Amino acid sequence: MEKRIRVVVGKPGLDGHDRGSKVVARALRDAGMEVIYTGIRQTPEEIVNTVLQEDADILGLSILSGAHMKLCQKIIKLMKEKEINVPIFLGGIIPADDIPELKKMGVNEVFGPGTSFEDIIKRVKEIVLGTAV
Amino acid sequence: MSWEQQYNLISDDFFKGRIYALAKMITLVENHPDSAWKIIETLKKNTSGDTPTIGFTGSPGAGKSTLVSAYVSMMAAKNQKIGVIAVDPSSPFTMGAFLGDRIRMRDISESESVYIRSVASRGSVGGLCDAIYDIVDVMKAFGFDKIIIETVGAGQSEIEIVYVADTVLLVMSPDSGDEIQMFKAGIMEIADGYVVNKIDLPQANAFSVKLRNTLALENDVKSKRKVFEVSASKNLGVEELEKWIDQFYSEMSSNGEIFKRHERRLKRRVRSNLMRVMDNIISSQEVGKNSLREFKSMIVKKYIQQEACDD
Amino acid sequence: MDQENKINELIEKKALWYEKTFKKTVSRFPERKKEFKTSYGKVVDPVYTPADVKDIDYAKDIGFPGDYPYTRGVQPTMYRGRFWTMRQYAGFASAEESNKRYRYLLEQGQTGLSVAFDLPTQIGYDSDDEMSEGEVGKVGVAIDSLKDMEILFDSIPLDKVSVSMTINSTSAILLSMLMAVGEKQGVRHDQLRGTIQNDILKEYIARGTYVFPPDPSMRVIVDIFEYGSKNLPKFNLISISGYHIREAGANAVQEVAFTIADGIAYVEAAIKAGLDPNVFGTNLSFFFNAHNNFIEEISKFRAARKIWAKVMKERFHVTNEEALKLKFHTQTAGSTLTAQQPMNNIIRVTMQALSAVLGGTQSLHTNSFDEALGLPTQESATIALRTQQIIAYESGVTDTVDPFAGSYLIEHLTKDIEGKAMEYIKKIDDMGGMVRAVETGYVQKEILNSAYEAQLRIEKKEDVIVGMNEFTTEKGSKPTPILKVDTSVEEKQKAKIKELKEKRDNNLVSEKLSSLKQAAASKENLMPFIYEAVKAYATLGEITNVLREVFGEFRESVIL
Repeated sequence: MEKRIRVVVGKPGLDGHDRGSKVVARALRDAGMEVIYTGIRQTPEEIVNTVLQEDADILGLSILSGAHMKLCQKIIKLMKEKEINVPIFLGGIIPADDIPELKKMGVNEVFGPGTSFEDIIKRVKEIVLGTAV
Repeated sequence: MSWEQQYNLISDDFFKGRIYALAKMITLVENHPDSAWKIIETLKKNTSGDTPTIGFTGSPGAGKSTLVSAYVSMMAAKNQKIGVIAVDPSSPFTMGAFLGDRIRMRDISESESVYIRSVASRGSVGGLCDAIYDIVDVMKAFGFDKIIIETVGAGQSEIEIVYVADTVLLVMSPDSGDEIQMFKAGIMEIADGYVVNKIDLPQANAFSVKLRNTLALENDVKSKRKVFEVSASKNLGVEELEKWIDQFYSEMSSNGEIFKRHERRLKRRVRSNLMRVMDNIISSQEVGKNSLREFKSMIVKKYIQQEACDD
Repeated sequence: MDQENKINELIEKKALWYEKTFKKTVSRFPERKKEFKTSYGKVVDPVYTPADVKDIDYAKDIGFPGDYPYTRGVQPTMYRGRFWTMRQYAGFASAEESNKRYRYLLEQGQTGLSVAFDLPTQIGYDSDDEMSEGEVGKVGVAIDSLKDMEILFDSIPLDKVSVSMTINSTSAILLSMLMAVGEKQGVRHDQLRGTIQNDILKEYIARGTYVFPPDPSMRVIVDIFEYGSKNLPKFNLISISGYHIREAGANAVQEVAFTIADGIAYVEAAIKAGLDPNVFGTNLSFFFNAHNNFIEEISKFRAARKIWAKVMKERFHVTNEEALKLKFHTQTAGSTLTAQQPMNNIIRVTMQALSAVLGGTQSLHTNSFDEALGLPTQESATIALRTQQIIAYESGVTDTVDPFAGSYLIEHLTKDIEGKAMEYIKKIDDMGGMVRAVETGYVQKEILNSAYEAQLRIEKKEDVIVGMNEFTTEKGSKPTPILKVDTSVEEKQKAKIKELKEKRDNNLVSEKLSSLKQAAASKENLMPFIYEAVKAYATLGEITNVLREVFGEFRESVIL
């Protein structure tokens, strides 16, 4: 059977601007993926727990409030504690200066405003199918 | 990686009760339907007795997820280990799916003793997915006190749940118009109990009365079925429902009904499995110059060969 | 009769022109697109004539500025009397830093303040709450208690400067803090001018800073109406906001329709609580988005004004003219700003702002060009303000009231948007009103569908975004400097709370909080109790938690 990519799309923190996350979730679905959408205002614990229980292939996060450094740090730390090895992509308003540090932290890809669906879908597939081998 | 290799990687941790291994085991049976029964067989050595499986069905917007959440949190509070399977539809065109039931289960998703798995229907039309029997078995082997299944909720043809679950509840909401149609339809027949949710809505009373009256006109079995009035979001009436579900299960165990249901399930499952395999064989074979009869025996032969290989 | 003949003649002439002149040209030089559409999918004709406005009755549908139905504006002189309030939304980090930025902006000629609060303040968490981690001071200023508010408005005379606060779930608390600070400055409550956003329905729909379920949230809003229309006559007690609905992806018609439908829900709730719309109606204000389609946007503002006047008059039988007038703030559309070639955003903002002015806005925020990258710097915020000043002082569009009226296209679109919005409003009425429509997720789904379609149009380059999907330049252009928020804010705020809790009269605080709790469980107006708790230096989180205990918390349940 053809592998179905399972992706968790989550919004950690208090930011309620969910247009981006919802629209991207829909695009991933229309690209044939199974999308588990968590809704807004999730704690890092909730998001990590969802990734764990759902055996997700990849985790997508959307943060527009500027709290991305701290939230990513916390999520990655929790994932390490629970020995979850799942790639992460991040979307939102992320200053270019922060990207190298985010990548060092363990975020696989950062999508800024204006990234096309095509690019997001392509990268998600690359990351998942690359790591799944 | 072959399924055997994947299985070997996680089986120890599965039996140790680690959640990640459960999650991966479910993925494994979901993605390898042909080998699933072998996996199940191995896992089953670990199981003792049977785990009550309760199905919740009903149309979209009836409040199934919210009800499941309220019901499960009641049991979790008593330290019962609960496994939840929530099925959502896959697109027939892209096969993609939105699995959003978790959002409405936030109250239980953080509980240590609750495991929630969102599952896509992947082309199955009965309101569940083809792998549902296998997934339930994996969960049983993991050791839950109860397993809860929430169906897609797309309509009247969702009768598969009756084979998968021991007890089936039909969730209805007084504010959705199509419910009246449902009174007459197949889905009404299969439920063991009816839940009128959102009982705080003004039109709820009239709805309940109508439902009871409709049931009273029916045959003996149906007219004895329970109607529950609840508000899942306000947590009203859920306790009574919880008690009844347990009571109903023990009644079924003592009067032998449960064995009838298990047998029914087994037959259905074998049927589903055979049909899936047959379907694959049929669609992969060319008819060529064969007559109808020749083609049929060719298929049967193929099947027997394949079955022998698998064993 | 003569008129009608003329119109018929015109229609024939246009048909002739279309067949002969237009088609001939198109057959040789095809148009750029098969169809030209507005944001809400209306196909626009190549040209509009008096025939397209023949059903519009000037006196009845358009009228004069300051007269019903206010299509042309709510004041007779509009910007000939006084410009709109130039009100830049700002606030970040601590009260001290934000105070500095406000004083700078006022010195630069800004005429009103607009306070941005951080998310913990908007959702009722103190800076030392676990939920606040990483969010303190990020999207706005962190306010934990009256102490912070005193610093925020230090040396800003609250009887002269009007203050707009983007605050919703916790608006009663922040309003109380503002009143208390005013009192300390010697400003009476009835002298305070400004606006609280206080629009909870659009939080469930689009913005997400809800705390309580819809019913108790509506109750608090009505409490504020009742208290405010008696004590704060110059204050707008709500800013019914389409801005965020549009940002979430709605089209122009949806923006107007859902905003007015929200307004209807508030008015109905207030009337049900026994308030008179002739009175509280004057304290209502609106907040719209100025998006890219210039002509459509001008028409949208005009249509919204007309619809609201009609709703108040015909549906709620309001007779007080002041309560019929839709007064609104506008912000240029943040979602149209690109991270690529960010300087282009200055031009976008200029045109969007111009549409708001031509649409008759009462106050305006122009976005800074760097907002797709992060918080605006002092320089980018200054350019944004200068944009408004150039439109006001140099463009000449402010010398005549509603100068685009009478354009066949604009009048036609104004009418069209009105009609389409009314269809939505009718549909929502049939669903049992906006609260129900939001609970079932209908509104959210409509918006998401529009958002997704809009994105697909961009992907297919049917909609061109300059610098993003066309006319792109290679990466490596010079980086734009952005504002970095001092990360020590969180620690500083935590220390301040600790100190506060040691110094204040804790017995008084618990006394005030327990009376608030009792009031919340009863039907009493909560405002006096919140005001008392605020003055005793109860923190924002403490007050919100008391209400959480009584009201419960809202959980999103919407599927996509």
